[in-house]
Amino acid sequence: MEQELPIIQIRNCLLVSIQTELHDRLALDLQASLMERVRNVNARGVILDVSAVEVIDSYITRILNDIGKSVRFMGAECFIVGIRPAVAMTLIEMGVELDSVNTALNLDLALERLELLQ
Amino acid sequence: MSESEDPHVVVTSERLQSVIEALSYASVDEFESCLSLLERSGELRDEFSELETAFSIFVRELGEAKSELNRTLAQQEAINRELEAKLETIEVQQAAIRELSTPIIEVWASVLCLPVVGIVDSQRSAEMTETLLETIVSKQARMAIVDITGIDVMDTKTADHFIKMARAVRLLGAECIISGINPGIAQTLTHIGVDLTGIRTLRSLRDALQLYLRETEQLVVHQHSQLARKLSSET
Repeated sequence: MEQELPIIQIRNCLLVSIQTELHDRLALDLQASLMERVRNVNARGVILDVSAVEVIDSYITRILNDIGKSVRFMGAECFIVGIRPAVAMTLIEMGVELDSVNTALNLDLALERLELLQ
Repeated sequence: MSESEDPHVVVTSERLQSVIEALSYASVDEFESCLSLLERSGELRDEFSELETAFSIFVRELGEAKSELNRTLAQQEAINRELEAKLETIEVQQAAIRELSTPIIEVWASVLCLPVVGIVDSQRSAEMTETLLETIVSKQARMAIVDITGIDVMDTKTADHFIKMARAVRLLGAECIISGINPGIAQTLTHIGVDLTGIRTLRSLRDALQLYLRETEQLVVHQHSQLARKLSSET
């Protein structure tokens, strides 16, 4: 059974709310379908909500950074929202950086910042 | 004298029985009953009564040693109890200190302030980071000001802890400002080559708050102008 993450469009933004654990295959699929959607709907922003994700490893971080970079290449901005405190601490301890994406505390603040950028 | 040269000692089974009984009393710590039995049967003066006297001396000594041991054990137990109570107090106090070591103040709407005083080791810094991150998420604070006016000397490790804390705060999507760096710490940080990119440092808590207010003001002005532009383009 192939699982797929739903991509929701709000105005000219794409929203992905990740409610399951992110494994590598799922993240790669998301990256591919997200890029396609960004081009199709001409999105100005992409928001990934990871508030339900309890584990983010270095590979997932790399994919998230890749998504951020590619989205920026296509003229949009990428936001990761709702990173859990424990996840943030683990990422910092591991020394991996999420530097190609913007981060926001919640969806509302991300939308606000996206609005400012336009 | 012929009797004394006789190598055999004649004992009635009653006396033997009473000695056995006395010893069995001794084996279950009933020294009083044991001694009275031995002394009663030791009234007769013969070879066997010497053995009985020896037994009674031995049992008396044993009884004394035993009671001495019990006394010492009781003392030890009392000391142990006292020590345990003290350890418990220490644990409670440590928890109190830990709680006191991370006071997070909401100085303004969605602005948190963490004043740091004293010595920061890795355990304390981990706890500070954890508490700060959790408070940021629960209060949805946009900015965290870490005020280190109260720290005089900072070594490489401590500096690293603070940088990590600031990075973690940024990962959540809030902004982290470190304020109150004194000249000595500034020199240390430069000397050890800490990368402070993306982390704003300001002179004081006051400056940090002012910066926040200025920025929110700019945000509001920007939003207003955008709204006005949208309205004018619609009409």
